[in-house]
Amino acid sequence: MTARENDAAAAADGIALLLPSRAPKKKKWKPVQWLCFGIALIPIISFIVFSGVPVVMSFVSMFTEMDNNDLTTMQWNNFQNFVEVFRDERFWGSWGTTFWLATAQVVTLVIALVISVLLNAIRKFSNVFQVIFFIPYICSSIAIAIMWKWIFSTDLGVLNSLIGENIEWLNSYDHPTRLIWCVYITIMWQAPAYGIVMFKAALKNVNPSLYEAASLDGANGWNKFWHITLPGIKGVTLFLLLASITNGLAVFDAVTILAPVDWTGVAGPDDVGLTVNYYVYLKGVKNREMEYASVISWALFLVTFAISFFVIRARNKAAEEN
Amino acid sequence: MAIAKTEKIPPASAEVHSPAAGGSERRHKPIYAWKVVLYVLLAVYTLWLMAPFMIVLVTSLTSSDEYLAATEYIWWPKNPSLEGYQRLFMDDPYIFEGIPSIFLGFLNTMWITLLPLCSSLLQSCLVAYCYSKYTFPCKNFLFMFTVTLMFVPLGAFGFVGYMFYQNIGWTEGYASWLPLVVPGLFASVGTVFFLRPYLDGIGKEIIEAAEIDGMGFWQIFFVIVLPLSKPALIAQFIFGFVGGYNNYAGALVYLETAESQMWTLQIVLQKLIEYMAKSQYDYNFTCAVALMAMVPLIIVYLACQRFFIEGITFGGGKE
Repeated sequence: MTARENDAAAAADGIALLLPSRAPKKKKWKPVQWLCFGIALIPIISFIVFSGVPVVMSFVSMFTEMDNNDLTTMQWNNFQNFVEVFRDERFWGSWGTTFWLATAQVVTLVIALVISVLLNAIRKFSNVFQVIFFIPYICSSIAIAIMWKWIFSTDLGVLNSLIGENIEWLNSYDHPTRLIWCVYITIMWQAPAYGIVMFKAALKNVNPSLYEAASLDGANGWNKFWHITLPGIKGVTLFLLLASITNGLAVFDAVTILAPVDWTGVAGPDDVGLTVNYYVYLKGVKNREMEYASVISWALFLVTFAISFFVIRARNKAAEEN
Repeated sequence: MAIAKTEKIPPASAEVHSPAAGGSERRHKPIYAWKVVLYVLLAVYTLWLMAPFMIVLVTSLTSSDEYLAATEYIWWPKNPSLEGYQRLFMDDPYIFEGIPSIFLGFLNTMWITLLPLCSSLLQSCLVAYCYSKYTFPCKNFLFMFTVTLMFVPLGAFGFVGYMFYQNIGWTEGYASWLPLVVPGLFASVGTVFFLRPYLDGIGKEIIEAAEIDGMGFWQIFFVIVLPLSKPALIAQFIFGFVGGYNNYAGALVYLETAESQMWTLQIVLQKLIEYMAKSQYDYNFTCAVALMAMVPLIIVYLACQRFFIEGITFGGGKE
């Protein structure tokens, strides 16, 4: 039953229930219905106050100049913030790092799918494995980043001991991109946990009779995977993709530990650890130049929105087909 | 029901050949080989996930004397010691009236997470109950509006709230806690959207019977609806609790410059790491801190893992 049908049913029932005697439909509302109206306003009002107002504020501030984020000192400044952001090399550099790290989310989805298919193919210990594979989701990304920082550390780190060399992984000015790969691995270690559990639940729900029919038609394992399993989990895949894009572009936690800012305010060697959200934080919160950080935030929002738009459209299409 | 289904599902990967063909003795062998490969792959992934924990655990049990003499990672300490954990109490630079910062941070995290979460869940359930079981003015419009708000991707605006709270004076002294607590106290659009289909599934007859018995709006909610929606609420609670326990970015904005007794666990973690980065031989301390921060939630998870897995896949799995 769709939500719309439910609504209609609920509406009919509710009126029958609450206005039992010959009351003309919908003209007079009872107190309890006004109470419901008031209750239904709670989430909307709190959203407007605590999310809407700050976002509108940041929108207005983009066109102004302020002292120390103080709204009373706001002054129109002729799009100067946009010009500055556009000319800011750190801004463009942060996009490079962000997109690079966001690809980790796609790799993550593939890993999660493979692992969940493996899990679905076994019967014994399947649940034990699943319990273990979900542990990274429970752990804080800060603690995980600390663990990996220790693994990548220079003198006594595990990685260097294993390969028997003393390589600077996190702070090499000759090879600054090593740092990004370290963050990449850290993200890839943690992120599949959620996808594995979601995919596994979805694989369970794929109609088993489809597989039987395909077997009778002589389909091999790969054909079955491609033509039955993948379409069957399309909805979950797109849902996970949507979440991954939003999270991936907002990457922040792990980089702040693996690439902490030094006293000059640079994140990692050659600023390579600077992601867009990290830059927003440094500018808006640390330096209290929120008018400047707002421009970056809105750019991030538009990019996230544009990419998610296509995924949402694909998802709606998939939902209609089913 | 879902469990019964799984039994029938042939494994999705390549190992099932022809169910119709005979020669059952010959068919067993390749399946066996495939299974071994599967288990080996899964074991390798398990090792990959567990290795960082083991590495950190070993280091947390190694004394700093041993590290002073070492030239590479110590795979197994000769004299395991609890020095790293003792230093949580002795060397903590942010100790507050005898309470190590990591414990105080844990307590702060608990109330900052649980108070808004419980209040918000109760309210969200109430809102979903109104939508599901009553008609009221502008109902459909309000619901459409709620759903639209939910789909706005606000992830990019995580930090812009700082300006708002700074201007209303919520970033100074103990008021720095308010931005972390107050917005979460109210019903959230996402939770309402999630709970409504579940409440729609609760039979009308039960509500009608209760009304005939003379139960009012609130009584029906607390006595019938709330207990019946427990599975959905548990699912949301788990999401909220894990998110709140591990919340770093949100807390960092408001608590980084606050006094140390106000920090949440994740902030304490970051501050301790920052502090220890300055000295050379705090490896065991660092690792002990990281483990201590993760262990409480892992224990809760292992104890109630069924609720976690079911909660996480609740709704999402049956798109």
